[in-house]
Amino acid sequence: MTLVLTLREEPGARVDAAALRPDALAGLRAEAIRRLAITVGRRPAAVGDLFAVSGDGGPDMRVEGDLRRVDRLGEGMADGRLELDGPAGDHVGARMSGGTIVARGDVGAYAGAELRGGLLHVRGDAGEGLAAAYPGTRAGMRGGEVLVEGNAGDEAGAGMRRGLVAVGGAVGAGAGLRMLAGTLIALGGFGPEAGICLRRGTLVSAGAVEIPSTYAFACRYRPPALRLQLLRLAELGLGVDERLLHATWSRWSGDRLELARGEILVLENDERRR
Amino acid sequence: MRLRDTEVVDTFAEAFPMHGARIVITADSEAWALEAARSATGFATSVIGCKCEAGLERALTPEQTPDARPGVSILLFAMRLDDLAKRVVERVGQCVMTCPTTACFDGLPTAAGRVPCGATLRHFADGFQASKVVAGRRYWRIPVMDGEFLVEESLGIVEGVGGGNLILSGADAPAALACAQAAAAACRTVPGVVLPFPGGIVRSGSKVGSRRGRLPASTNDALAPTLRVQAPRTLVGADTGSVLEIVIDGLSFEAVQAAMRAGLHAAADAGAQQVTAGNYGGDLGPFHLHLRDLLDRPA
Repeated sequence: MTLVLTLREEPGARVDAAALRPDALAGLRAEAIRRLAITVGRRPAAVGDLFAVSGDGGPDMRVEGDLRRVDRLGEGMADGRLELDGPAGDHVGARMSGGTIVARGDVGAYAGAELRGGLLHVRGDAGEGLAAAYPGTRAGMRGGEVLVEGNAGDEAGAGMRRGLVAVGGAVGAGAGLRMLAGTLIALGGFGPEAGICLRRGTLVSAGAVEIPSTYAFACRYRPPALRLQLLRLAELGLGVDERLLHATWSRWSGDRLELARGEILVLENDERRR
Repeated sequence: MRLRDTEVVDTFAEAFPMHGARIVITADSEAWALEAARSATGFATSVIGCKCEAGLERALTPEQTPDARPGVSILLFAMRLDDLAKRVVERVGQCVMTCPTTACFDGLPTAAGRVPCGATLRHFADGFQASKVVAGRRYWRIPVMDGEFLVEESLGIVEGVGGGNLILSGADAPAALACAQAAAAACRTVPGVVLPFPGGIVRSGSKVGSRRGRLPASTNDALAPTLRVQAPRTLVGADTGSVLEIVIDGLSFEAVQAAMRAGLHAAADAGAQQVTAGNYGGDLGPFHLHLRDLLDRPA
């Protein structure tokens, strides 16, 4: 039976829910889970004070309710499946290394930050710093997959080193800032200053994008690796228009302030109009 | 033993362990995928002279390929693992990477053993290569003159079986050839096998060694109709005008056995005079595929 935690009422302060992940709770009986310590604001509390708990700890877990003030859900998760039924707070799935998190609502800032493996699938929007490096650290996401069906905030994929991030809608400013490698796809386009100081790695825009002046046009072509990635996104459940698989993309090389070994792939205008 | 009007000799094919890889080649069109596949499996009939054995396994629809383009799967076999690794890089590098619009994928992704492919070929990019990991599999992007060649980092390998065979006799050359063609077509319907010889058929079956000791293999005089009188020991009947062999390599014993069964029944349906199989007395190869086990119709 799936472990289900239902938020009783909106908490009075932000909740640090880093303990709530299926691999950490596996093997625990419901009673033990109710007694687990979490923090509400600066005050210690028990899981049972905030959540109604049903079922025992196992590979599958669901958290229900308006979780906007509940942070760090699934942080550091290594295995299992965590479903969030409702909007969630910050740091969802940050530093996770395995397993799957499905968030059925919006998520806050730094979702999937410094993620190392596994899948984070957000059915709504994501806040700033999606799959990014935390301020002060060099490398962001280092593996795994992040899918956002809605929009994402600023600095998505900042410092990203490996992995695949895909956003069905638009991404805010500074996408891929200082990105080292990996792929960040925005089907709805990027905000300003995308790809600044990108060393390697790939930004993909099927919508609007402002190409920085430190990038140079290389060619128009059909990138075979992108086709494979788009097929993977479709397999994971992101709506990918069939025409994108056969489309021609412009390749812009940069950032020439760095190694110039990165790229921004932009869907050709005439393809967008079709 | 008899199978309809065909005499089936109560003997066995003696087969050997070989390392095998399945390579999936895709391209913008099936025609280009086939071009690459034919080129990559060329001059790969026998390890005796070609260092590896290879063939086309089957055409793949876009729904069956990793990048949703038309494709072809080929199988490549060698006796030793290091030989297979070299042949993979040579053939993918010279015959697939060179072919317009192609990409190259591992057809045995769950196999425990691996040989490098893109991991070695990436050096052709002279430092301009880039890699992407998609669904846990790493691919190398090698810039080429028509865009990029995408190739999987490594290929899965399995312990396969090489040298399954059927030897078919007919009253004359056209009759034997018709039976062999029918048998080869039936063998090819079985997944996981290839028939490495031209059209799947061998006319120059060989014996081990030679009378003068210089060659590792020489003509199978016992099955050559023209030597029925001269050969020290002949297996050719007076009413036999032509003998042809089908050689089958597969990813498993079961696949080779299934292909032999399909071939045997197709040959009998086509009116083969006799079907036998080649062996070396059973002491060399660990896999013995007895014809008596194949008399039931394929499911």
